[in-house]
Amino acid sequence: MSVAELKERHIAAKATVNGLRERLKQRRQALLDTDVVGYAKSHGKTAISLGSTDLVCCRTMQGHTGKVYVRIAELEKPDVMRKYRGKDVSNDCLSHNAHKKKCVKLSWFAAKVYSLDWAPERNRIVSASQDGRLIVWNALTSQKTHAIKLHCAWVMTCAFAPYSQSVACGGLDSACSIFNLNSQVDRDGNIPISRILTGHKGYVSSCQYVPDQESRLITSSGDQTCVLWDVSTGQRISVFGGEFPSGHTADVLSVSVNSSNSNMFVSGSCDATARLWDTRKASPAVRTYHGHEGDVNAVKFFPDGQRLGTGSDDGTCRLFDMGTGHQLQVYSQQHDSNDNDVPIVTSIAFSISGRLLFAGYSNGDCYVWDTLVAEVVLNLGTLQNSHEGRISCLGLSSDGSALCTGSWDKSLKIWAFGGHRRVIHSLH
Amino acid sequence: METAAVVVTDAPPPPAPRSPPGYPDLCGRHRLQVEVQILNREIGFLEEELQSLEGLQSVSGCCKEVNEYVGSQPDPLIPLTKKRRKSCCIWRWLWAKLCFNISWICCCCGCPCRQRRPICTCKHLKNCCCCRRCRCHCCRCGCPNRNCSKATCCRPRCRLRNLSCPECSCGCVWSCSKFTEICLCPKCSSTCCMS
Repeated sequence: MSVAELKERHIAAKATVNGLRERLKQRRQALLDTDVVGYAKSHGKTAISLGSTDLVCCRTMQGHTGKVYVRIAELEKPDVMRKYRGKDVSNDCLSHNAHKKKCVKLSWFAAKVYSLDWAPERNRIVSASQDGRLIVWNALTSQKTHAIKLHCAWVMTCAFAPYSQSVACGGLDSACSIFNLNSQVDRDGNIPISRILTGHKGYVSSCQYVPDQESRLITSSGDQTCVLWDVSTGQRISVFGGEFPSGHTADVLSVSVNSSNSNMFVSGSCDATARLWDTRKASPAVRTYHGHEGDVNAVKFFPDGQRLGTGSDDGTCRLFDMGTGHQLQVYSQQHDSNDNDVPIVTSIAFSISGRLLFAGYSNGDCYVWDTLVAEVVLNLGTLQNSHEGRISCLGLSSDGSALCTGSWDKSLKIWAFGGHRRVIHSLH
Repeated sequence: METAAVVVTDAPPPPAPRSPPGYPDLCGRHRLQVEVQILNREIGFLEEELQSLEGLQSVSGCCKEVNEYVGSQPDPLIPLTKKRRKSCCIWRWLWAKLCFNISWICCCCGCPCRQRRPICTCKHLKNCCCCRRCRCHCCRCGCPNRNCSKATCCRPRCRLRNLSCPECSCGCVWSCSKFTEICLCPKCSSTCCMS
């Protein structure tokens, strides 16, 4: 076939694809007889009432400070001077170790928190910051139980294993590192890597263990693919997308595994779609969810496992039906048409009933949406002790009693119910 | 002496680089072929999806499922309200009159008296009290003061259910700064606090 004929076929195929997409859009529009808000209000639902003291910040965890201690004498060495040139050197002298050697504290970069994950059992949290550390916290006492120094400081994601013995992280090194929390530390006092998962051709943006499977991990990547790994061997089991058809056509930014059916997971991408995958058959994607007008930064399954939520650069969160692909609801705030700086949604989580949707934004807001009526019932960003920077990540504890938020202000905060059960009167 | 005739002919053209051989544009052709294949596959997926929409339930069916699910699940982060019958209003009014000047009766647990318990003088106290009379254990101030009455809700052998149990709001687990461990609540088998 000649190049000219190929070009004609290309044009015709492109036109057919566009026509089919338009027909799909119209067919879905015909099925859009209501949305969640319309249905809820027609059945008498009203927004829940949350006072400013109903959700309170009860823990603040600060540990990602990027502090480095250097002996004063070493600061005079040329290679050390080169390393710390231009950095802000504190005038404080601190006693460093048992030998009372004098050290200088350098606090020279803001260690933004990029990712967090709750342990499925017990109240622990792992957080990742680009100070090159993973920190494991006891969420109840705010104490650090582990501080893991990473080989690559540019970490973007972290996850707790199902039985809380290991943590995983990934980032710009295009690999996913696994650390066993029970490992003996090396002579530098660091926990060694127990496994490194290599194979992605781009940064690792998100990772999550398959529930109840300590050896199965799913990662998403800037190479437009997701991968299911066997952590025990370090091998890739399946690749989702990429050269295979019906995959994402841009960087994949987030994954969420369905806790009701762990064979299914959803991914969100810079191609403005979310896609549903079945781990038992890598290709093609089971369903594609259209609607967003920007990068899909966050995806999370609804607690019933039959719906999924997304958060995007377009400033909206959306609720989709997993099986039908319908867009059920859009959660967005009104902004001035002249306002070009619409805050982007960085992270989302549902409360265990699904009634509340927590959404973190780039301007430090953390809206609590009533999912049934699509109203913001609380903004954690305006409460006492709220974060002072972008909310980069958030997550709900496994029992649904607490929300943890991580921010570019270097801290993590835990929010829990601070109100009390009210007694109201009925009219009959 | 004869001289040889010199034949003068046109000078040969100056040397010029040779043009590259006329290879077919394999890269462009190959790329086009791959793109056409990808588009054809996409057409197949879109046709399958279009077909799957036949007989699909409308959005209202999905919304109904969402409403039903959300309404059926307890949530520890949402205030729980209990309805009280109107006939109790008279007793509430009477109770309010009787305890108006009895300052040791608590206010914030549902007891109508709005006075704070004066025993706790903690400066961190804010809209909080613990009522000995009704034993509501509703203190939330997070006060580290040992003498703070708030401590009553977080003592060892706490018998209250924690936030995980949606039927109560002990608040012990997250509010108490003395909290160090978890135990199983004897009443509802969910986690509770014990120091």
